Amino acid sequence: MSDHHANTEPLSDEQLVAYLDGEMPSADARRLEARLADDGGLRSRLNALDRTWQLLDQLETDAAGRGFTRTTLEMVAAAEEAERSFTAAPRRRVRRAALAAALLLAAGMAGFLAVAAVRPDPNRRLLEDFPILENLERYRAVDGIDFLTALHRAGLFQEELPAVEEPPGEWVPVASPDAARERIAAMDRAKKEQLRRWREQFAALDADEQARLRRLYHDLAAAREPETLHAVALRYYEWLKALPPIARAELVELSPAERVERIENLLARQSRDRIRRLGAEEAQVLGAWLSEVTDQMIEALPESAQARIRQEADSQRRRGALLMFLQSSRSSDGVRRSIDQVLGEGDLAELRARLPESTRLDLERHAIPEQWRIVKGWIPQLVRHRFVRRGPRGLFSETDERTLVEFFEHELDDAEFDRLLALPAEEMQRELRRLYLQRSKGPPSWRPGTPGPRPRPGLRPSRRPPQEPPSGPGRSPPAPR
Amino acid sequence: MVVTESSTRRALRDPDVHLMLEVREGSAVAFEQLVARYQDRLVAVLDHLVGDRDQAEDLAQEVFLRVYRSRQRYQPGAKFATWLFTIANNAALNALRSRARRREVNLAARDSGAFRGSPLDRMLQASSSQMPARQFDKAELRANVRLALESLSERQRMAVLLCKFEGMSYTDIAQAMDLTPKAVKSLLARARANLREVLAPYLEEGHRPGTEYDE
Repeated sequence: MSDHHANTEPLSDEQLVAYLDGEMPSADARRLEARLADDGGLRSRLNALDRTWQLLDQLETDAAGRGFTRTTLEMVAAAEEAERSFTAAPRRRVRRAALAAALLLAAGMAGFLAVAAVRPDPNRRLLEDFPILENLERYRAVDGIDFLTALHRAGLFQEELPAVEEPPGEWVPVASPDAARERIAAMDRAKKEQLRRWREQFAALDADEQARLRRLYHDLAAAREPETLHAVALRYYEWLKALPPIARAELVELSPAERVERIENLLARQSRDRIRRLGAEEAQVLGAWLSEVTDQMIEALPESAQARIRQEADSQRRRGALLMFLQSSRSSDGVRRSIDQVLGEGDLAELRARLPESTRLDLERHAIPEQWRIVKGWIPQLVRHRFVRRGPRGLFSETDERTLVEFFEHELDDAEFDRLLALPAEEMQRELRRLYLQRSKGPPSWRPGTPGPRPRPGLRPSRRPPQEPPSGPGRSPPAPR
Repeated sequence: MVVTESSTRRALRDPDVHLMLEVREGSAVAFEQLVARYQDRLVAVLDHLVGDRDQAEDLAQEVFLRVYRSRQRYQPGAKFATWLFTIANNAALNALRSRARRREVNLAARDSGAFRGSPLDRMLQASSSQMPARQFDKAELRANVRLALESLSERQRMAVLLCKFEGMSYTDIAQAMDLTPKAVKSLLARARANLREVLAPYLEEGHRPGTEYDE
């Protein structure tokens, strides 16, 4: 800005910006300040530029991500390693060529492998740690080789657990970084990204924990059966992960010896719980087996019971009546037979052989009397599955309907009554039958001469005429309360 | 970057230049210190420059790698920050150019749908729809300031970021961007005029940006 035009020359944005940035020569700056005092338009322009600049303060400037420094340094270290190998390249190339030429005469393949073996590897650390990274969480859950050996000796986690998905993760021998390299090379992008995260997690561990994990891996490699112990570690981790948090926390607090004992107990309890639940596949097998042994079972009953069961019109209803008889805890005439009293071990073996393998193995872990108890526990589940959940009528004959109405009218409390009324018609009837069976242990027609359930004290009187069948909201509105 | 005796003398007043000289001598600790000291600033500038956080971090790592690889040839001729942002500028411009090439291919392949417009177009549309002045919430303000920054050319944006966030002088910016100080002066003036135009709705008289928008 020259003196001559100091107060008249229009000022460019460039000059105003230079003034704001402190880049204007001080003499020019003083002249500009003098003009600003008198020139409102100039002040506005300057203010607008200044405020625009201040608006940039609104831009967020987050810090670099966690681990940025470390990954940067690792990357630089890898580059340095690569650089070193590049510097050494001419000498190595000569050696490699001579070696390759010599070995080519003997065996081309062996020559290639030898060269590959002497080639410096910038990813050496990664390759060495690869089996640990890949199994980081699993190995972290293991105290050491002694704990794994103790699990193995106790016969735990030897085979795939039925409720736990078999974990992936092969054993990668320590002597084979090439295997690790091949596995990394074959990984897709997502897996490589996962590996990178594991590496970050591993690097974030303290030095003692890193050393412990490396020691564990080397101990595994030196063990007689590394693959087996590795598989035990994998299965143990998958199992541990599925435990409720409190059980897991309690387990981790125990000493390794106590923990093995507790694990054994927990596994046994889980096995018992599992085997007591009847799955759909088991229900099918059990149903087919029972239909084959029904006649044999009926014949083994006292005559009075046989006569009662044979009253039923068709085979399905006879089977239902038989099962209910066998299960019933009520016995009006003192005749009781349990399924293991009417069938033999051969029948049980036949059932076992047809069951899904994991169920069969679970069942075979128990002694024969316990196996019978388990099968007896399955039968009510099968009855519910077959006769209560399926079909509109299930075990109930038409003549039972009136008893059901009675039951609906007199036996249900207010909450149950309202709940049933709110259900769709078919579901309501199914639920009504389920409640009836639950309380009376069988349909009314199985207990000839036994009247329908009597009103319990404290329950309300009939809410509708007994001849009226129960109805859901889809059929007719409930009677006013 | 031309290194003269006087520029070296000036550069040696910068403690980070001394750290870089230690790196040249093989000190890994010094390099780590430099990374720790500059990573946030570098990532922030690159993030605003390329508009993608992950790419910004990747670029920042590339910049540090280039610093490390150049260590043996390093001659102190400017402040360390100026040298670092010279490398950052080159890396970012390369990345933006290759991204632009990819985008051209994508655009060519795309059928003629609705024109999305440049950040400037979007920003101008946004500002016209926001007239007359109204209260803006802070998130909206931030988003629009970011759009305004994106509406600048890459060189204008870099100059603005170095001037605003790194507090670099025109001379240093010129060194980092391989321009003359006069060109930087002109670049920054044009950038600020553009910003003023697209951020006009926020510049009502009486508003003091950064205070009245606080939550």
